[in-house]
Amino acid sequence: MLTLKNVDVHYGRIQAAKRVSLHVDPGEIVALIGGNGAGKTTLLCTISGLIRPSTGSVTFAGADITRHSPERIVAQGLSHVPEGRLVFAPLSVADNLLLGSYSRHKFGQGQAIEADISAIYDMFPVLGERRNQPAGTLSGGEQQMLSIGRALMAKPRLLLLDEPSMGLAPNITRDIFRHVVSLRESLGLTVLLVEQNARSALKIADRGYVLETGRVILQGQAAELLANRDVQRAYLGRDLDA
Amino acid sequence: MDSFRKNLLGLAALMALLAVAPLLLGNDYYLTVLTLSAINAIIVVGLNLLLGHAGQISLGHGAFYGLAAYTSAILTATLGLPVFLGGLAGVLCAGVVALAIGIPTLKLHGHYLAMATLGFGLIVYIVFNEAVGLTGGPSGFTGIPRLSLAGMELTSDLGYYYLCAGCLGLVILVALNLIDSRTGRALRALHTSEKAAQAVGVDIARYKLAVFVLSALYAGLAGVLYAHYLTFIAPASFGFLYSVELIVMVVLGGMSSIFGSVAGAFFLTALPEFLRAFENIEILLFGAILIVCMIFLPEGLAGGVRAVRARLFRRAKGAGDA
Repeated sequence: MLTLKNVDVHYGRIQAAKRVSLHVDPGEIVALIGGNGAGKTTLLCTISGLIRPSTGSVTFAGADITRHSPERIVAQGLSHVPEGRLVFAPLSVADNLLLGSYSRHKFGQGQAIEADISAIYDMFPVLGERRNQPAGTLSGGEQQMLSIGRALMAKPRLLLLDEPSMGLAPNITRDIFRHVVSLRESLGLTVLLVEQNARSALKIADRGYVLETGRVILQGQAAELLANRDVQRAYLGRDLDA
Repeated sequence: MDSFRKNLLGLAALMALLAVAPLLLGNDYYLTVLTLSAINAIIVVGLNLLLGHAGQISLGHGAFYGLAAYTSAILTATLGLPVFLGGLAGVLCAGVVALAIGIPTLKLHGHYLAMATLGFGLIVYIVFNEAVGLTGGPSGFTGIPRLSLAGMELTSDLGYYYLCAGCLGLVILVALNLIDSRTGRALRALHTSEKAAQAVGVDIARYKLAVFVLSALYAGLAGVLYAHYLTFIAPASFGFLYSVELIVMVVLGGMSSIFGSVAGAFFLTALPEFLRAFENIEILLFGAILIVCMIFLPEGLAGGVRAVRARLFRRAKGAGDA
């Protein structure tokens, strides 16, 4: 469904991604793990068109989207939940969701959009309770739900999730991850998940890639990665020598 | 009642106020102040969309105002075109120039956008001063005809005031409609986070440009009204200081509120006139009032009104509970 081939990304003279190739198949949850500055967020932004790669190609659902504008990519069914949630703080919860459906706007779509908003409220009841509240007044976990809900409003086939656990209490993180799994079951959504919290991510993922200083150094089934000694030492906080 | 209906009600109230205001004034000079206030308010409404809603700063709006004024003046006085056509050309000229300037500059953010628009404003100001053959240079451009509608020249000051107030009402109506629309949401979204706006599929470059051009068109309309009201224009009215004054009107009035900005425009245009009585310390008092306003009303006049209303509401509720 999504394929990256030999993608290089530069910020000025700094190279943030080096020859990255990866693929995501329909219906999969794929985790992209790695430490700070490994290039995880850079890759997601490259996929969603916010950053242009210097070389390499990004293909989505059979079409080359490497040079497409972000708004075009969203319209093709690829939604990005950005790092740090980035909800539109002064706008109400309802307006945030409406903005999510921005790319679908066509005459006569109003009712379908209304129905989708209430579906989001069913999924995250707390958002329904707070629909008229400014998004900035929500708690971190609620903002994360809103950010995911906003991305779902574009009716994506592939969801890019950037560090949904950032700054959240462990039980809230679990809650969010449970929602991600149920999204795949209920909507048939494919998910590419970027996480520092490698253990939680690999637990819900089918496959994983490990990124280090802009390179994919390891890939495989999530269960294998969880059991891998190097991954355990580097990312799962287990000191095997002790 | 949704916010758009509430705002329409507010607009109706404002128009009623503007309609009766001249009847309450003691002399004709105050009518001039009121007319100039309405003209300033037209630009400020556009600037409020740009600055308060889309979050883009411009220190060059005096230039769009001037461009429209000079274009209309030259076309009507020098070339003898009907005022209606000249005015239309003036407004369009401001819009077209904004389009040309906006494409390269709106890629910039914050201070850099401020610098670029400032530079543009200065260039236009210098052209007004130096193109003496066309603009009359620093000594100004005289002999601009008064506005005429369908062959009838608008001679009375009162009539002209109502024309300006009507234009202001129209401009506010368009702005309120825009804010309440899908486009308005997109503008507020890109104000909060350009990256997130892009991530939900908003073409941010296009919207920034569109709101920039719209605000320039507003400034152009104001410029045309100004030129054909005073029948004399000089570069000094369109300089950097004027652009800054416009920003102050928006900020003092309240960035997030159209009505607040309009109040800011009327307040700041009228204030110097009332301070005339203090002669030498006039400017000093003007500055002091601005400082006091910003200390006690950090969210502008509109924010102040909101805070007072909220406090009254709480008190009323508290009294009800007790």
